Amino acid sequence: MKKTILGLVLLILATSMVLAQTSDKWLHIKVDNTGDKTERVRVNIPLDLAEKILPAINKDHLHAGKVRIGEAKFNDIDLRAMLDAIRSSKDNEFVTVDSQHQNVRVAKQGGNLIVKVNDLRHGQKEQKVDISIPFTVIDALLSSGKKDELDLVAAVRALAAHGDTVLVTVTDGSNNVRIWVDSNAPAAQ
Amino acid sequence: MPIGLGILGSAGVLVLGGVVVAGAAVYQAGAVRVSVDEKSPDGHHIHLIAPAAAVPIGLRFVPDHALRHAASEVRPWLPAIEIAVTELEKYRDFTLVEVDDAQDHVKIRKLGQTMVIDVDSADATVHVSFPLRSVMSALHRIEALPRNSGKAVVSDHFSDEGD
Repeated sequence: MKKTILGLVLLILATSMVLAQTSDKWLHIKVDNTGDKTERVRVNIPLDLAEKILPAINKDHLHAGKVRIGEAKFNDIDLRAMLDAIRSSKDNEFVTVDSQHQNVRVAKQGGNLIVKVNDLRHGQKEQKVDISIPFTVIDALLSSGKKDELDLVAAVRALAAHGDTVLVTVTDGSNNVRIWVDSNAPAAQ
Repeated sequence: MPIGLGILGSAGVLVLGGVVVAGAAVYQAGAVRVSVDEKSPDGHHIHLIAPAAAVPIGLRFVPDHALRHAASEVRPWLPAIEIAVTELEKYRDFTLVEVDDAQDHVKIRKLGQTMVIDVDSADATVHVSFPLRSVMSALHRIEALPRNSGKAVVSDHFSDEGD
């Protein structure tokens, strides 16, 4: 009897270990367009899977899980130094742009880099973009040591280690986009 | 009992056993299903079910030149596909991609050890399902193809482009 119970306990432990290794965190992308062209998109990617596949893709600018973005894109801005400065400072709003058609806020809040954009240039519909990226993910993204390279695998790993989080939301009159990470495995319908 | 009848009986049991084992292996490997129903009045209706176990055998009969172009396109992605196939087997059933608009409905799901792709568009309804393992045999066939001096080299060039 004891052996059976021990066997069952070991089986449950082994099963939970296997389940813990997979399907842990999921990146979800949800796009709903209720305008003239009704459109609905759902993408669900296990982060664990992304972490394993990315290093195997060697195409164009993506190599070994790292993507080259070209130094020209930075326009001589030392991105690392700028992010270091923001990370080491207290929670604050760093960039505020208020114009007739657009409001932009860049801030540090609770370990996240926050970007908020309100845009009125898209006709009369206000477009709102909210981006919230944990600094641990940004650090991982810039961890390759090369100025023109982003380490996607490290970023995915950092994202998986982070708690549930909403990364991007975009809303306007008819479009809603949401990109988030959680532990809810989507069921196949 | 005559000796001849005994040998015949034994052979019969062996053949039956072989058929049962082969049937079990085919059942275990699953099936590749392809259904295409064109919606036009004179549209084609194609329904194909083949045992996945037959995929490697079937691929052996496809001439190299017929696969070469597809191989050159797919070759850069082979390592990623191989990892995806191996890893996907570990996950519970889930919907990978779902796209619905006014005309098209696309759904890519993992159900059991099978990938299921359903497309319902204005022109046709398409259903493709294949066991994940069957992809590996196709990959191995592509990997075994000799790299020609045409497309395959072009794909290699692209794969090194970022360096």
